[in-house]
Amino acid sequence: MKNRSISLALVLAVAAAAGVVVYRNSGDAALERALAEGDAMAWLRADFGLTEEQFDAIKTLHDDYSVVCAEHCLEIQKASLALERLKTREGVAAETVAAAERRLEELRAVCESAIATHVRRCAAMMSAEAGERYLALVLPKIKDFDHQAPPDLGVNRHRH
Amino acid sequence: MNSSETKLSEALQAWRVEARPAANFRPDVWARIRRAERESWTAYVRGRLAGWAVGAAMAVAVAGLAGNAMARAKLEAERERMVVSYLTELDPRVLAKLDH
Repeated sequence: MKNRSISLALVLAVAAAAGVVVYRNSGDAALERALAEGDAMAWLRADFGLTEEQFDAIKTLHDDYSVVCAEHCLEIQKASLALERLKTREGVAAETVAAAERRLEELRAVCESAIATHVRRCAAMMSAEAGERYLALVLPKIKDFDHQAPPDLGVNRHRH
Repeated sequence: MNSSETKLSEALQAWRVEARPAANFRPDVWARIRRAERESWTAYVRGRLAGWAVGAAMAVAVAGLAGNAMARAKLEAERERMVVSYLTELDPRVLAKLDH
């Protein structure tokens, strides 16, 4: 009975150790580091196996896109502010408010289309398999992303 | 009841089991118990090596699979968070709200 207990304990200890070793060594160290640091570019490089050329090309695309993104952001802020003002002002015609709402929705749609185009361009820089995987991860989330994402994300976002 | 049934009934009634007690049954049992108590762990394992080896291999395999599954689940959760963070940086609609 005592020998059986010792053997069982030993087997369980060895199995637990094996489980921990597999858990710790299952992933890609560079990918895990990028995810832990919240570094999006490092994540792209590690997760999608980017070569230096691919990484540089995608970084350039991101840098170029950030200018477009800043313009869109400003436009949306202006439209949103204008809409808020119209809503708080008295005696504003319903058509005027509706037009401001339409303008905001149009800008949101333009944004959505711009992001989708941008991520497709990024995917085109990757290998076929990586590009497909990247699009499968990112594209489905783009639609109405601003309504899904928590507004107070503490990520390293850029400011315009 | 016909004659064959009557015979069977009589035979069953006459049947007696005479269990003869095995000589030294009780001392042998106690001797085996004492031997097992004195057996060293290595001797115990050596005597049942195949069984314990199979058990240990199965336990290690299950633990390895569980460890791998847990690592994958953790990676997926972190990747999901990263995609949200990445899109937040790319999406002017979110940034407009954040900067507002």
